Amino acid sequence: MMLGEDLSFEVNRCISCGACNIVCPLFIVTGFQETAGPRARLRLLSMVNTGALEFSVEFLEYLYDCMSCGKCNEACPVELKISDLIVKVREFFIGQGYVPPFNIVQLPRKVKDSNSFFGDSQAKGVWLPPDFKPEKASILYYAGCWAQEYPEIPLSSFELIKRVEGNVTTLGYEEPCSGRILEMAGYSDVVEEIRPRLVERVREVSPEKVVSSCSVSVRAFKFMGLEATSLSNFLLEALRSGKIKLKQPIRLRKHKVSVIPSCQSEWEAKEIVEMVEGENFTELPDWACCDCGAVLSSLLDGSSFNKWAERVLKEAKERQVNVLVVEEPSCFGLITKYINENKVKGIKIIPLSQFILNRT
Amino acid sequence: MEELVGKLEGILGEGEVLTDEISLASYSYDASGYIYRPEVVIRPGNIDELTEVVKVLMDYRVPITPRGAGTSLVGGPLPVNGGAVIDLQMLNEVLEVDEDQGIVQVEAGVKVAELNELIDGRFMPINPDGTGSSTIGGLAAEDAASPLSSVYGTVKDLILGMEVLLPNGDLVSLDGPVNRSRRNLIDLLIGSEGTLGIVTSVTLKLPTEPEERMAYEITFNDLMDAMSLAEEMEKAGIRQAAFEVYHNLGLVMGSAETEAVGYLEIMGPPECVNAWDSRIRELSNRVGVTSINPIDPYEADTIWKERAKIYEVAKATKSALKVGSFKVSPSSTRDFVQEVDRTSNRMKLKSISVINPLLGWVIAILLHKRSESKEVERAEKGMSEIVRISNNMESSMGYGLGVGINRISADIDEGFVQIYSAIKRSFDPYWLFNPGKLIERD
Repeated sequence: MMLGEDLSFEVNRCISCGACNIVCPLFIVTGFQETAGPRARLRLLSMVNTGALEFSVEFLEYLYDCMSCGKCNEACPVELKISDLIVKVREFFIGQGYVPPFNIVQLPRKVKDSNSFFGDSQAKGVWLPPDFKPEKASILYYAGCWAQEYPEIPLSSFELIKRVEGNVTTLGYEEPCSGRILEMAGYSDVVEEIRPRLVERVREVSPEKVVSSCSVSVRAFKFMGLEATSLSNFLLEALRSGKIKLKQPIRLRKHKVSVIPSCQSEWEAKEIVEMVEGENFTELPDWACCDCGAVLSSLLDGSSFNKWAERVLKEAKERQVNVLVVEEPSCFGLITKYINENKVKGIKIIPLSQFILNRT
Repeated sequence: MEELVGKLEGILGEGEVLTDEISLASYSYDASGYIYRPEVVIRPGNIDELTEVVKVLMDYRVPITPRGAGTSLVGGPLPVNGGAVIDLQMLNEVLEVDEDQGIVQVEAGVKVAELNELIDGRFMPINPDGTGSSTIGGLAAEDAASPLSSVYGTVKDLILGMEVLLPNGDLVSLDGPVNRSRRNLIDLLIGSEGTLGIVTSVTLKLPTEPEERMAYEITFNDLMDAMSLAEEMEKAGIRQAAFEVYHNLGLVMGSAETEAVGYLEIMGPPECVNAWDSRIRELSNRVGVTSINPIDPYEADTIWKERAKIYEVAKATKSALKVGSFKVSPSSTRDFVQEVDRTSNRMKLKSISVINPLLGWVIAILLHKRSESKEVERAEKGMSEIVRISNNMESSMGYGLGVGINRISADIDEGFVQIYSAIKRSFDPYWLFNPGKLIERD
């Protein structure tokens, strides 16, 4: 038993029914390839555990080739938290001294050195004035890693929060990483090491509430005992209570809008875009959701994410969608990159915050 | 092998002919617990590709095992002789929908959950694993059943027509909304478990949702009381939509002391259902049930359509399930269930039997921990023992799930094996279509 007693027991609790497969984005976009779905991850782990399948470099890489969306957690009839279990398995193998794929193994060092998995320590506050210093405020806006790549996201988000609450600050150039991506990669020990930095910085501004562009980070703030919410949840409440007022929309006949929400959200982004667009809004399938977990899979050879993006864009085109709103900054980044590399035409990708700001 | 793979890639393009260890392992299991690894996995995107691929494989004399979603409980899609597994899930076009008649024609890879979405107010009553992930091709190949088979029959009773790819490469179409020959050749292929041909598309009629329904939970001190109740209800003309009795449920879940808990649903026009309701209570008193209580029909729905009770057991006991399915005459049902108990006791495993009294259908489930290799062995041994007992008891195996790797031998049904083998030889002289399933090779 390679996995040890507790993990072996959980992995073997899978009854192989396949309920997790039919909700898995990767299973669906690969044309239902068994290997891509959660059932195979568990069954193959169980084979590796008994020696029926060789534990190889390819297998370890395979354990990371997943969007970590968590859809399978909800689908299992015997309530196995499959996605969480896979994270525990990654953690276990790292603990045993096995080395994850190249780009994954770089993550801890990059995050430790630069507060971001991009590995550039001075870029995080690029959207702020050079002399920006965090101040005490009731709301803390957490921008996340992708702020440096797409400054329009933190700029529009910050502006919207300011309009709603007035008193808002952000951590700026030295915003620490929330550690969620490291957690998902199986580096929970590194997270413990770096989290005090985040706790300390947050304490300095002593906010009542954290609003995060990166929705998977919300969990990290809640873990610290803070009231925290995703930007989409914050915006939805502001729209409902009338704190954000929208311009009368221009109803163009050939204008169709859809949205890619965060998989781990309560689908707030969908509600927002529907509220704003009315009958110009059209829905994509459930599996067309994306959050920071996609970054992990894109750090491999990127082929899984590309398959997903290709299929999402195909579904959008079939529905005549020409504007696609993306909730998560990471997914906005990855999809934009895909569109540029593959020269996809006829569809405009826009971050959720920018989309709302344009309509106010 | 390399030459073969090259030819297959020539037909399908890269990425859909899989030979790496991880892919081969992914296609080595289904929901049965057995493991058989293929040598190559082939994923055609349409029927033309499938036809070409099969021709090449036949030329090379490679065993061919068709596969849908891999939800079989009897190893149906496992390549027991190695060779090729053909994954049919990408054949998933909806070819025709006739909303008025409730008739649909779909390719083999279309899943139950998708069938349920095709026509408002109509549904696919056969959803054997409860997740909606099984494919129609697999259900047709195994002639699947579900608790609602009491009224809707098995898949065979819903199918109007099929297209099947034969081992010689011919794609044949059988029946359809009109059966011109008025002969039943299609029944030879439904339930043939991929041994005579590969189902490529199916035409079926989806039933409408019932007008009024009522459901009950009934407890019994003796399984025979449940059998009597079903019989009495049938005599009284009461339409049982589903009736399932869970023997040992209380024992395994550590709750009730009763021998069995039954779930019953009746359906029909409101005036009938209301009249039947009082009649059922009267009959229950007469046969001496321990208790009868109405439950929400939607709760009952989760039992039939999502197999909620069975998954609850797996969840609560943290066990894997070794499942066998049998059809037993009403008079020997209790004896058979006692044999299941005896066998599971001997194997030091807990068991549950799910009995559908009206159909004489018994699903025997051995609970075991898959993390304990000895328990897995005992579960497999126990199930073989139960199969052996069933053969001695004039019961039949495989109702609603298929026979799979258990196989029917000449000592079980000589006439069948003789005729079926002759048909098999004429269809598939080299015995390459799903070998090792349904019957023993003579």
